[in-house]
Amino acid sequence: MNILLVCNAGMSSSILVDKMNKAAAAQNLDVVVEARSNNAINEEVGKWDICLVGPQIIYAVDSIKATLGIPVAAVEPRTYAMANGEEALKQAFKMHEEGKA
Amino acid sequence: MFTERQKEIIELILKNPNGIFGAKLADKLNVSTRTVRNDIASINKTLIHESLRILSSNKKGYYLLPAYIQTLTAFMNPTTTIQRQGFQNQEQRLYVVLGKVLFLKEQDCFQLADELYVSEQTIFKDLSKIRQLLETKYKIQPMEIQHNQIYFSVTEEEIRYLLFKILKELILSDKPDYLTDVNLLVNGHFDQKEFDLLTIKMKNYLASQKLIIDDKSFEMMVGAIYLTVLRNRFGFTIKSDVQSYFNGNVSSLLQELVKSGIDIKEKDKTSLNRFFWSLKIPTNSNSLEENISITALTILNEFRREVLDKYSIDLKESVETMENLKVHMEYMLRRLDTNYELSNPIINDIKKRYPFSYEVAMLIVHIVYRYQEKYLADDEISYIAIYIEIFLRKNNNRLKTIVISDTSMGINDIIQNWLTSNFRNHLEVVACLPLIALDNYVESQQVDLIITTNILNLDQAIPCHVIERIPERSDYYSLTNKIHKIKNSNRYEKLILRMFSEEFVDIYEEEQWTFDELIKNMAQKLKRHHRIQDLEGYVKDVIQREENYPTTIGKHFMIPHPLSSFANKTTVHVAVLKKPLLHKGEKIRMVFLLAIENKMDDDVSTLFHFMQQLALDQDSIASLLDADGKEAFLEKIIALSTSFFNKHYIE
Repeated sequence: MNILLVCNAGMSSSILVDKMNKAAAAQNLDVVVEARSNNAINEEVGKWDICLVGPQIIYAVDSIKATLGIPVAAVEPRTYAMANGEEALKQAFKMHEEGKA
Repeated sequence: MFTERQKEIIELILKNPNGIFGAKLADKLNVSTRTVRNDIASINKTLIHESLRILSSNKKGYYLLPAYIQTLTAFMNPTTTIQRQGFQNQEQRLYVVLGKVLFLKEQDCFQLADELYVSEQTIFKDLSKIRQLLETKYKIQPMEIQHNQIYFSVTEEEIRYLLFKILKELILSDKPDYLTDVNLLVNGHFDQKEFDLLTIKMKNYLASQKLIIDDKSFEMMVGAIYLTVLRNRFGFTIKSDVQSYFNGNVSSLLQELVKSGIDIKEKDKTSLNRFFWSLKIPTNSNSLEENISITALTILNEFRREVLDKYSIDLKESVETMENLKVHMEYMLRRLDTNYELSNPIINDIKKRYPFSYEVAMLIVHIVYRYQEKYLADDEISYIAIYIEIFLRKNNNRLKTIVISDTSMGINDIIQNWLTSNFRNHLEVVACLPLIALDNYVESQQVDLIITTNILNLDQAIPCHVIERIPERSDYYSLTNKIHKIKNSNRYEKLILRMFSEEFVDIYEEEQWTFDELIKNMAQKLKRHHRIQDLEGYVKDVIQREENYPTTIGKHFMIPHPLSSFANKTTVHVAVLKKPLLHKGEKIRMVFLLAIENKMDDDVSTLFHFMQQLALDQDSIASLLDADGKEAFLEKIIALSTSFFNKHYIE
């Protein structure tokens, strides 16, 4: 599964991406997680299955959804604040399941 | 019985009870007096059976005895006079036919012809015209004709939709007597008293809720509700129920009306709500602003960016234009969504008179398509074009341009002409001067661009463009490029001025801060100036964020900002620390504390981009740290932003 993480400048998201990748490796999951900044989103169409958005740009969720056409949601503020890679990963999988249903 | 002309003669005589002369009749009908005489003779021949007669006298001309007038009127119009007059023009007859079919379910063509005093042929013609009109204008085909019987083949929802659409069109057409047409459309069941009562009820409700609605939207609301009531009264009710389009305040209005005895059924609400959704009805006494969806803002932002990239026109230069477009965009999307798109009666004028604005407005089409998968109608585009045109006339900051005059007057004229015809929207030639007068002029006036025919060595910092006498195609491209650059750097200056200000630049000479204290101190100032709301929440958010996501970029610079606390107004609070702050092993010398609004904003992305570039450039950081006072700091940061972005743009 390909997960895209978006925040304003790609600063904070890259850290969470690391944590998510570590969590995925620990659980032996086959996922790709990468971070992008909000204004480069147009080039990402068609490359991802799930998109998570940093809470600092929660207002952009709808527009990103419209641009990418995949399930998009803001990461739980608590999960994001604590940089909890495992939780973020769980959220992504849950969205993926719901997207299929 | 009578020929058309004879009927006209009778009508003219009826209208002139004091008599009308033969010559005048002949004049009005464009025939000779002799023809008039003949016509009158043959009319009298027919009227003999009714014991009526048109009299003539030398003093009065042709006239009728008062006693005859009524009889003759009745004779001419066996049913009522009012109806007869009502159907005189064809457009109205179309409404009549549609109204009859809509309210009587089934109609016989021959009977219709009889009732309307026209031939069957005319009825058939009218019907095909109606069908065509409905098809092209409303994309709905409700009628079927079989063996001279006309049926309605669509659901009540679609009929309501059609009625609402026609109503909207009638109201927007600015016809003062549109209610007459509405009356025809409801087969003459329109009751002015009832309608007035409904209007008063709704007015009172809106007043009690302190809602302000523009006149036309109000007329549309009243009209739509009245149409619904009439449809229900004649047994045409909506059967299915689909729930969508929720508009809180309208729902309570409908409830209020039901309570006061207006017959609106639960199932009517969906179709009414759908219609109201496309109208400008505020949900509370505040502005329309709050109802604007994120999609509308996104589309507008993208539109603005594309216009800027393609035409070097920055719509953001006018707050008013952006606000108006915001609201327009929202309701345009709603209309698109509910299929109640506007038609624009002056669309052709707009295309002809403002071709450039129309071209710019066209950019919206593919953006809207990307988000909504629907194409906008030409009419809607032309409305956008009007906003663009107003902007170009009023707000567009054209670059103040000086042309350094050549010795040849002819060349001067050619260059100025070329500038006006190619860059009218971008440049304004404020003066044509010889070189020696330039310094003097620049001292007292603002100049953004200088155009010359020779390469000059100017001391001025003003951008200069050389056209070698006769402008060529390549000059067009290079000048376009230059204008774009100048406008962009102006834009960054504006961006910096919007987010930075002297009151939020603090230079600490002596103090030794810890990170937490510094943030607390700076946040207090943000709170004092009402830039943020929840001081403690903000501070906690910033500090916690820094734990997990350090914002230090480079060695001495950090941009702390919270994750989920938003600001009232986007602000950058600067602290320059002469005594470095020790934070996680780094010596921080400059802090940009950010407070960001919860909304789409291109400028914020640009700001982040700028700060990242800034952090990578040691020299720039050093020069900012050396700034002598707040004012100097601001000046430096504006200069830096402009040069960064120009570099970025050239790349």
